[in-house]
Amino acid sequence: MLHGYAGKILKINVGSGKQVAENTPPELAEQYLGGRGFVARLLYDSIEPGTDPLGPANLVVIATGPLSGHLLPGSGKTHFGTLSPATGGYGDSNMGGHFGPALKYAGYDCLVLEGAAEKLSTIVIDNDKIEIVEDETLQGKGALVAEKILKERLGEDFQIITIGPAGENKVAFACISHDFGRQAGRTGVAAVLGSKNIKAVAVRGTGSIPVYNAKGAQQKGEAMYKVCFAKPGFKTWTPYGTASITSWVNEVGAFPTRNFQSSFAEFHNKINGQAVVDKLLITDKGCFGCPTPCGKYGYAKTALGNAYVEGPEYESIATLGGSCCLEEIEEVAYANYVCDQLGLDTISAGVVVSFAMECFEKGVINTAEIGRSISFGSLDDVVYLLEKIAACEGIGAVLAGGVKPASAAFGGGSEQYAIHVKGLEWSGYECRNAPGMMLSYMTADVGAHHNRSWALGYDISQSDADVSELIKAGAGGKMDVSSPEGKVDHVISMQHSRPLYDTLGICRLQTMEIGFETVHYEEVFELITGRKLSWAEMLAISEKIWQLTRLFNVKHIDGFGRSWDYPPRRFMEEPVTSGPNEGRYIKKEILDKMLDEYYEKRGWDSNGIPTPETIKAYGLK
Amino acid sequence: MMTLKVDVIVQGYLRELYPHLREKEEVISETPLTVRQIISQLGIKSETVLFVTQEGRIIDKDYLVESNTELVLVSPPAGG
Ligand code: SF4
Repeated sequence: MLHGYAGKILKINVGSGKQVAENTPPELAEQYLGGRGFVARLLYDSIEPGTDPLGPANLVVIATGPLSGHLLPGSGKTHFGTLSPATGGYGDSNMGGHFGPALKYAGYDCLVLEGAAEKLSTIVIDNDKIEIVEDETLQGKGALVAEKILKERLGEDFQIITIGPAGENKVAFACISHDFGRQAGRTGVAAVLGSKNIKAVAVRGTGSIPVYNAKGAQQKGEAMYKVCFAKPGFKTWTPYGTASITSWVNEVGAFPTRNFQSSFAEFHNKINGQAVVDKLLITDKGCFGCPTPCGKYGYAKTALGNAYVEGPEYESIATLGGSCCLEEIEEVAYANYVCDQLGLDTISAGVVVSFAMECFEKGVINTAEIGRSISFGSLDDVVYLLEKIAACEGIGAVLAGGVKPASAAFGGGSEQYAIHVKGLEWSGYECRNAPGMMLSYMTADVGAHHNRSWALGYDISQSDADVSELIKAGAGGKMDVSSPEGKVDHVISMQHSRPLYDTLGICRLQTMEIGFETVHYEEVFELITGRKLSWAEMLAISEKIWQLTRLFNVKHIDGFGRSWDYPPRRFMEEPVTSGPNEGRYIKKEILDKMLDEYYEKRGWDSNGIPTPETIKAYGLK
Repeated sequence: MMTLKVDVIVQGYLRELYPHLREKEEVISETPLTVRQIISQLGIKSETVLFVTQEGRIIDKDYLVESNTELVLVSPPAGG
């Protein structure tokens, strides 16, 4: 018996209706732990080269980790993966909430979906009873509305994921929604669900998970909560959540503004964590088992409409607020709400909309093509474009593929400011003066996402300048953190540590924010699974998974290699237009130097391909 | 002259950035110090600190610190 795991992998062909519940292979658990590890291995083994990401042969894998659903801090995480329609390569996204624990209590570590249903359907998993229910009445319904309808129909004890109209229409950056405000936003997993005609998956689980030392694990879990509550930062971090970082990112000149033309927004104080608390907040909202609820549930009133919304969290503030220049937190929150209903990833959506705004400003696209004129700072224009994108109508049909294909369609030099890596839009950190963070984005397996490695703090810690003094001194002061020395090791180390949490099925914020020690996870892992693994040994597994996702990209993307690891030309050629980093950019030579070192340390050739020796050394095939 | 004695809690991502620091550090000084100066004495760049709290309230980094207090250095949500 596999302790800590539910013990089964449920495979459903949503086209034929065939369902198989297979035992979770012990060697899979041993070698890949769970969560992201299961996703990477199952996708690598099951998807043939040449598969259409939006065709029936693609898979959606939904995986829990060995610590998911157990009574310990932050154990509500669920991992989603697919062959990404945004990048054509490895795609995954992590989500909090309650879905993963429910799936495990229903008896499944993992849910694998393949095929395509004929009509729009909902998968209902009620422990071992599984149904694929055709229901076209949900067609076009907002993701939050669909969840409410299904909760009313099935009962509050079902945990539900839904997609919105954007997912139904296969928008490349459609997101999965859950618990009225949690999302698996990145890499277009919802578009793949949409291509399978799956509007929702509802799970009720009332079983239990075998635990190696149940009493010990319970005591340890309780002790872990006590440790969290006793941390000095416990009371101070939670009230603001991730939005607390907004003004800090702006001060260090990394806040994406006007489609990343600048890295500094004068209006940051109107859209920061304090503004969320002062103008929106009703209550905190957390995931399963969370002692530090970072979700901020609030109410936004704007000229365009009012809405209850969870968030905005930092990334949405950066892309919808900073990059699209929405200068009031209520407007950012409303745009966030529109994205949530339409089922759009707020990160990509904000970047795509701001890209369109810059294209219009520069005359690359015109009023006739868009259907109206658009400008930075207009909520009305942001919502107009979001709705066009979700419906794949007019200009929205072009933007729905993301900035990479849109810039190819628009031409006019717009690829210079199509802000992405590998086809995935850049998240909330402008880094023309932060080479470690730049390298993090360049080499992230899914494309330009921050949660594999977040090296901005390291970049700042290595600088000689005191940013606050420079800001006080006024114009002329420039922060200088552009030396790439020593960054590669830090980035590599983070690329193992951050994704490890997604592999175990737990939240990283308790560690990152309030200093919860990883030794607790080692101890509770042993009590739950009966397997003794040090954190370092778990990191070695995470490192192997990193190699595997690189190999996935090599397998599936034609001509994949070094050229896929560069940022947009804007970051290598155009100076930042304002703020503490005004005038700065990172020359390609510096990036090449970092890439050379990175590839060498990874055991990849100069084109970024894992060598046969590396593949053998990690025991991969 | 009164000796300034301040406990400083260093946590989260800051401990990754500055592994030489313990979770609780003590700063002793014969001269008055601002929060920023205390952070600097610990070898921390003040820009890497998201905010600082004293008794649960956020305080400005230019605030002159009283003796026998505890400061908590909160780190940015590092890639949350
Ligand atoms: S800190 Fe936030 S993301 Fe993490 S478990 Fe708590 S509510 Fe969820």
